[in-house]
Amino acid sequence: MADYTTSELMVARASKELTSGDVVFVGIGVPSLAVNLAYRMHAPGLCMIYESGAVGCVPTRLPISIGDPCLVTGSLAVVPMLDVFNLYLQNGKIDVGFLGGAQVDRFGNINSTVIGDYAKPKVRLPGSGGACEIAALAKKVVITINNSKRTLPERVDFVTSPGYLRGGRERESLGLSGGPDLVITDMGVYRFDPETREMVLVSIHPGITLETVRANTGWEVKAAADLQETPPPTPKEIKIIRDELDPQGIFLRSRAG
Amino acid sequence: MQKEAAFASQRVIVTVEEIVDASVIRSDPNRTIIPGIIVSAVVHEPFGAHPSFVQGAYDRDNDFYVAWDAVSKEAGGLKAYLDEWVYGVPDRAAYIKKMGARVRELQADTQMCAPVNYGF
Repeated sequence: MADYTTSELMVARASKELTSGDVVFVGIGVPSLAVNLAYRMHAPGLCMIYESGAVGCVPTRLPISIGDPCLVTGSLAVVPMLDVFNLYLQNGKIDVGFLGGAQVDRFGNINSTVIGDYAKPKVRLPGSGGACEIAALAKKVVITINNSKRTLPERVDFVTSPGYLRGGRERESLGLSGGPDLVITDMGVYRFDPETREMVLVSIHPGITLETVRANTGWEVKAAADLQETPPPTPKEIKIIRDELDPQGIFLRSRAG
Repeated sequence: MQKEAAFASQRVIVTVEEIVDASVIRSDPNRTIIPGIIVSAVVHEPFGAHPSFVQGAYDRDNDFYVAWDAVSKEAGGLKAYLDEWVYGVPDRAAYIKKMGARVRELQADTQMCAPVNYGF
């Protein structure tokens, strides 16, 4: 009997990917919740950067836009957006980036551009924003998305943000390092096989079976030999999320990705 | 230009007039040129920029720059200057002491800017 929601589990799990010395590029939504939870729980030295140009932010409320003034007050520096992408991201200063999208495929490529054909779209999506740069240049990327055949196809309709492309060493052959490290869905957590670079299920959320995961993934997804159960969020984490971070449930109710 | 040079470097060493609490920096983040996340070392060295200036601390020593032409015209003059003012002083504190009254003459006047409200 759960006294937490799947969203809260995902946020808590994502927050574990951050340590206090990290410089993290934060997006609005689940990433913002995860990063601010980490900051309050175990990573007080976290340096949060929002792409609008606020560096070392200490927001006293959950920002709902990268242009939220709570990001500026008390921050370490306010810089042009050009600096965030050139002097910080491209310069290799970003340890962790969080990304979501409409689709993520077997090799961690993300689509937030179009469902269907680019010339004749079924659905036209908002596009990259800073996502492509983050996917290319952050040292580590954490992806959050729902687990379904629609959102986890074998191959995305459009590669907005590069993961491991077609697998193997293709990413490195293009001169990129880093790459997606973790995918957190509402059913489980995946890492990437070091050789093939495909997603591999490493932990499964309480109450979910491997059959359910496979029925909701667009390819025959591999599971780790030592498949774990994802730990639920602690009461303290739940309290911070519900009382301090998202008391109005703005993001927890329209979740993941 | 300072900012780009700092970010382009493998390591950054900053020499400063004053070390303050982080809350002072955070009170006006628009003024932060070099964030701590790229700084490797901080050297606290007051009057470290002389003959150049630090706005709000001390003026540019324009007399020095004008006199420099004559000093640096010949190798002999340059050597004499270096022997007396660079190799002949053990550290910056001794340099300041040796400069005497000139240091006081260069102290900046006060011209505070309008305050900014960072409330929201």
